[in-house]
Amino acid sequence: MRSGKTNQGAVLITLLIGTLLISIVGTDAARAAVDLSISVESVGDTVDQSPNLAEGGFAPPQSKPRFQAFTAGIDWSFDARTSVSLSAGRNELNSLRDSFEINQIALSAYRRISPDRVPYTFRLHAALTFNYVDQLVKNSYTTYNGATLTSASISQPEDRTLSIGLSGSRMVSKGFRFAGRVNAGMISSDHESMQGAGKSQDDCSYSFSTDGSTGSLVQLETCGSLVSYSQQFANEDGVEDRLGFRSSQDVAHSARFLEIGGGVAWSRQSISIGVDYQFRQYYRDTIDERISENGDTPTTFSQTARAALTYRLGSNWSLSLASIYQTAPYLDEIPLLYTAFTSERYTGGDALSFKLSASLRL
Amino acid sequence: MKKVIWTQKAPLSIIALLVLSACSSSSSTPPPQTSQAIDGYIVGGSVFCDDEDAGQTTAGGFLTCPARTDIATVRGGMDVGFDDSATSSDVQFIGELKAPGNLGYVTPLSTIAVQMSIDEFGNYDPDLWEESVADLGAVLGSTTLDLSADASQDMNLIRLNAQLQQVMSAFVRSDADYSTAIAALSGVIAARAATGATIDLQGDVAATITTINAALLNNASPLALTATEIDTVATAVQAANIAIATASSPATAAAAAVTAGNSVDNTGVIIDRRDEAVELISGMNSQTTSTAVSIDDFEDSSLAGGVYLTQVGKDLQAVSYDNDVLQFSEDLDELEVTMGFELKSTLAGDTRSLSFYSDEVVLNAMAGDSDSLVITLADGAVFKAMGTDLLGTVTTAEVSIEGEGTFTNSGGRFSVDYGDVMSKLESIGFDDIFSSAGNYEMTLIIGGIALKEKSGSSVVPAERYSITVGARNVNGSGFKGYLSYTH
Repeated sequence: MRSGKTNQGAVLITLLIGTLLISIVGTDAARAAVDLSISVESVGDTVDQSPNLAEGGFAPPQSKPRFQAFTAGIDWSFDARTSVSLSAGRNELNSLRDSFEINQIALSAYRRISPDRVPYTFRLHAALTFNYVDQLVKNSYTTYNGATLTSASISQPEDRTLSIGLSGSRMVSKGFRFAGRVNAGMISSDHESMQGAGKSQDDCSYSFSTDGSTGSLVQLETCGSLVSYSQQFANEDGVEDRLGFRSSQDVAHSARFLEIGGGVAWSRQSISIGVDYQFRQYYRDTIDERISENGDTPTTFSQTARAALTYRLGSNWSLSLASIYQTAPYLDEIPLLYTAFTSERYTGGDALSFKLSASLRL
Repeated sequence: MKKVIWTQKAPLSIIALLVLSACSSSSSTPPPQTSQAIDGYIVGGSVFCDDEDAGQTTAGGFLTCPARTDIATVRGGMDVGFDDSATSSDVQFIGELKAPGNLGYVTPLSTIAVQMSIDEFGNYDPDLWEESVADLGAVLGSTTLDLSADASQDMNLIRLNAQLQQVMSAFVRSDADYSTAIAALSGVIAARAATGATIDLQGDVAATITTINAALLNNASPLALTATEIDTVATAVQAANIAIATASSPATAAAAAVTAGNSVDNTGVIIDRRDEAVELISGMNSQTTSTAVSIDDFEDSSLAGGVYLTQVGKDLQAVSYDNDVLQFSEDLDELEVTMGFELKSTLAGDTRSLSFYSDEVVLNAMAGDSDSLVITLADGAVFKAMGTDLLGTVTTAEVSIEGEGTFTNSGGRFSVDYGDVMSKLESIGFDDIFSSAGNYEMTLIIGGIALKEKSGSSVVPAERYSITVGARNVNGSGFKGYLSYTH
């Protein structure tokens, strides 16, 4: 399933390593600094999660936050011009029936290209983000292309996002700074296989699996006069003919995006306050067409607004509290959640989250 | 410094490797169980491992079952004697042999021992096996009976298996009859073991057959013979068993058994390959057309202009045969047989096929009266089907059906109601293989009974065909023809 994506991954990593090497050249080691940071983000809203049980009915409800994320990071500033960041995190998303826990690793590099001692700053940056999880299980029922899936799981889903961009900022008066940025990137989302269960029009239960090329379906128990039933699909045409989807196009996808953003920040002594806005436009492969054919609405852009308050505690510590509003929650951060089966979660489902961060300069 | 460290670590690495490989080999899954079905070698018999379809026996009678299989079963097939390279013969094996999965040999003797090891709940109990074998050996006068010995080399086992099979052939008309006859024989052996009596398979066969027959009569079994029939078969079986007893090698024992098989001929059905025997009915409602062809024309696989000699129009509804095609030399009373049907495209690159069968077809007929044939498929009878569509999707299903309708006999013809079967299968996701024009091979077989065929004045064992449905190979005799479906 992933053979076509291997070369793309290699290109992504090569680009990032190259950017990193270019950033390291000419650094001033005497001015290097390391910042450690941890953060927790949540929407402050809970849900009484009650998944479907295989034997019927629902599990006893458990109160869980709709979203929370934990991240730890390290920023290494080689000098005033070059820095590299590495972070690892875990995102947890809960809904009435579903619970997703996704791991994330991000690596980014920044290089100031504007001269020193000027009131403006231009920086180049490149970033690679990788999300992965062993199994993504959708417990909630899914109706897709006439088929009713009572459960679906995706084995080893992962995504890779590479972005490069240019950002600039300028002091406009004492304490005030305006900033703007433009980024471009590409996304690749893939998986090993897909499994699930469903019900036929005759209410017969079946399980299925597909690896993007072949697949199988097995009736789970005797159903009326049908004592046993199984199908082996030689190709995805057979899978789609029977199940109504093909995971190589309804789950795996690739995309390009263009992003613009800007904001204003004010700082005085230990306090800084900033607001920021970002718009990202997506250009995807066939997945959006297939979502439309199914009668759903693809999500082709996202908007994010952020307001943050940062307080410096002495010369080493700082605390930051941010509120983040997203029109397509976590679409930018976790592309692997965007599939033909889950696309509806992005339509009419904006979110407001709060993020608390602490950083320590070593 | 580095080199010293590496040298010190190397033995540890090697030890770790050895430990790991030992661990992995000791925890590896047990190997499958391989056995041989032997009367002579039974080739092409349907194999079941704890009632699960598992293909068919190969040359040498070999079969394979998963590890920890309790009972390996072989049904039907061909007896090729002791030629371990032969894959076919004219000698049909009518029966169903069983053995514990780990025994290694599936024979008439092991079948009896398995039957004697059934507990009060009707399940095979391996704890009863040794005692059953001991009792069996005592009754047959072979106190050192070892069923795990090579049944193709041990002359004692070869003779006993062949002689017991001759006794079974007196009663058995079909594979499905075998278990009934074995149960009766096992009951006789168990009763004799309890009293210390024995069975003489050469000296007093009539007494043995009479005792078995009494058990069958007690259960009102259709296998029970009349007094006249007992006299006839007992004489033939005794002569056969004496010949087998004097055999000095596996080959001569097998030859004696074949010769004996010809004298204890239980073939009740003969196929008469006559003209205008096959009719193909197509069309819907009042717009049906029928195409009558001879069996020879139907079985002609040559192409003229890209089509076969036999052609049908749209919507094939039934394939029927003149009743006189099947001739009955004896009464068939509730004879349970297997009937199977297969249709597959013969165009290069076209994977479409459809096959189905049922083991629960019951035949009733009177000797000499072809029109008396009644083919019954009881309510709840199970059909197994497999189809491959244009996309290469293979669908396998097991369906219980309601009553008769699939195989019928009316108007002097017996028919396979293809349209009825297809409507059932289409409702569960099978594609209609006749949805597009093409060239097809069609096979209809009756399995589980000995069939011969008559062409002119010759009567010979009927041609055998095989149909694959999932993991099951259904073998039998019947017709294999070729037709072109034109739209």
